Amino acid sequence: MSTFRTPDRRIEPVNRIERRRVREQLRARLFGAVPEPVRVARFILRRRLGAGANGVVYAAFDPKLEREVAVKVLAVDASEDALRLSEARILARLAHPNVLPVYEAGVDDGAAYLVSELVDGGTLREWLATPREPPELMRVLLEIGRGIGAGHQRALVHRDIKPENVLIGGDGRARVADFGLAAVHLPRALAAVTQSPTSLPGTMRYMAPEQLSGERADPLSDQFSFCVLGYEALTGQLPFGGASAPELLESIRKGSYLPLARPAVDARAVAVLKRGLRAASGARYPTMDALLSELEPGPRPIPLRRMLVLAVILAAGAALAAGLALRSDAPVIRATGGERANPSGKAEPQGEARAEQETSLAAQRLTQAGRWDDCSRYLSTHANTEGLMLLWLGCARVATDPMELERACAAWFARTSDGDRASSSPLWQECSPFLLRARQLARAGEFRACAETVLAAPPSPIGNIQLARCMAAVTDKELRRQQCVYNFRSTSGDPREESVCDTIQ
Amino acid sequence: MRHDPVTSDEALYEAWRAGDRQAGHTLFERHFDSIYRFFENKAYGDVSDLVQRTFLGCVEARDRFRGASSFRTFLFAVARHELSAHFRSRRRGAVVDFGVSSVADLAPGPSSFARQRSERAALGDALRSLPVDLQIAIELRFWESLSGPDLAVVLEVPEGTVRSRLRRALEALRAALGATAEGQKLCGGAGEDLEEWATRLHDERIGGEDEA
Repeated sequence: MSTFRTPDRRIEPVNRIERRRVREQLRARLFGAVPEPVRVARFILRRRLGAGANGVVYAAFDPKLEREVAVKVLAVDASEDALRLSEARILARLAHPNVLPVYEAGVDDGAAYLVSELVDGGTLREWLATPREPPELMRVLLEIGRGIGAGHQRALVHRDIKPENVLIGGDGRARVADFGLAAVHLPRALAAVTQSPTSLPGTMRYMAPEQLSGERADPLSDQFSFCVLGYEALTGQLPFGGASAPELLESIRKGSYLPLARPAVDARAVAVLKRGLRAASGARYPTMDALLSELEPGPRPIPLRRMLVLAVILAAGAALAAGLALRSDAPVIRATGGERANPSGKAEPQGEARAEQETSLAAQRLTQAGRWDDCSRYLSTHANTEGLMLLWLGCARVATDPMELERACAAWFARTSDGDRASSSPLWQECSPFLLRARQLARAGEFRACAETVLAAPPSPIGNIQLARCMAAVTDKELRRQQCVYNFRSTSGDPREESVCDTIQ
Repeated sequence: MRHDPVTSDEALYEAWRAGDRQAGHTLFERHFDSIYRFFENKAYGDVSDLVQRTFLGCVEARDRFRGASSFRTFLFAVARHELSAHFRSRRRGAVVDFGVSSVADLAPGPSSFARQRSERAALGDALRSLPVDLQIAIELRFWESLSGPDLAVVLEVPEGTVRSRLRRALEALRAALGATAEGQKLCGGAGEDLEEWATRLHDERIGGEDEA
């Protein structure tokens, strides 16, 4: 029997570090010894926060910048880690409120590590252990989705979205952690699982069917995992059953959902998530943005909703202005010739303001009922102020009849000057001839031409959304790169970061 | 008082019990790795607490030392008791039988310690699927080189039953390894002597330790 022990290189650095930390902690606790600080690179480990399949996380102190950080020591050989670290470096440049900021990544004495913000809070799993109000749940889900989407815009696939990989801070803000870290460790774990007919670790239950079958994960796989997570948050249970990977795959492919033990918090949202849970990735939403715009309460995209609010505020503001007898200076006030046209041409300001308010309220009642086409048609005869015009555009933009938007834009152009448009809501960009044309092309199934048309337009957030729709059916690498660049220019605007787009494969 | 390397564990233990904290510290330095390893594949998230309780507990459990041939054996016996108390408290006082239940039964979930080499992972998983006393028997006999009589003290069984228990443990381990693809690579030849196999498994796969 062997009793001889040699210094061993085979013990994983992550376990070596943990053992050293426990030894120092107990030396101090039991014998009053002054503990030697256990460091990873320059970071002094303070306490263990938790461990997962891919490493151990510590609260640590950075003596150089004199701040508390989180250090994750990865359970892999540094030599195998080039891929993860390169992704981590891209991630380090990804600044988004819903993505956990990574400060540095490196290798120290064989241990690969990541340094990130120390979040005062817990995981989504822990957060969900307390019952949450539906609006709060939805807010957190949307934040998580935006974080994932931000990664996708930088060509980063997460590959392991699950409640344990989302942190909720004391401020309530959700942060997606561990972008791209699953690249190395998952394939091995999956190989073990797909060969085992009897067991399935809980964390595999968030995986897309293509991942469970051993294929490469892409943004649509993240979307699937996000939808499992969202489904669980809203219904209290996982969508699909199965004791093993093959059984789970079978349930997903057949779309056989487990019966719900209690009604979903938000049945409409669950229905939206179910599209993201389709077995065929092509049947899911084209992008996270597209999914989120459906998921957003009040059936429409985030930017639009904000703009509708803006439009309503503008309308209210205009009404107020009218009340202050500044009406004659306001732009765009030409009656449409409908019922609201004033026969005398000299209405009492008070009455006109009230009329605008009433119109705006009537339109809002229609939008709240989801009757966007009706809202657009109603306003086409009632919109006689800039605020109401914006509201009309907002409704027309999401109406089922594409002609509503064309009509609203035509009216908008007819009644405003270039100066008015430059100083008004970004919503008018929807009327950009490029984007109107792109919409027509998308309807005709000309997705490539649609994309090229948007790319020719000045970058704008609205253009971004249209571009994502065009790209749904386009796989062309060069176009994807251009989409990425367009994204950058319409949002962050920092041209130094655009080189990330060159890494799109 | 300084303690040179030849001071016996037993003398240090008595000194510690008499209030010499430095003696306790020396004992801790000598045995920390073994006790850490004992808990590492059984209660990963709570290793620190359990190691601490074992060293504190050995001061109080002096009576149990009488039967043990060495301090180290005694320390393992205390560790086993602490592990049992740990699982009992996690299961709110329910009976925990180490002859029947495995770590996998008592602490289910992805709690195995962080590692990535798949053969080692397969071995760790297989060990955790055995009844706890069988896992302890294999680890202490082949990994920590305890003798048969010492193992009997730790497991609290008559010396005569240790041999049959070890054999059963090795058969169960081989069977558990055979259930996974990665584990099968470790199973060895069908006709191979089990004890030789276990020793080889240690030398080739588990390797030694750092910071010995």
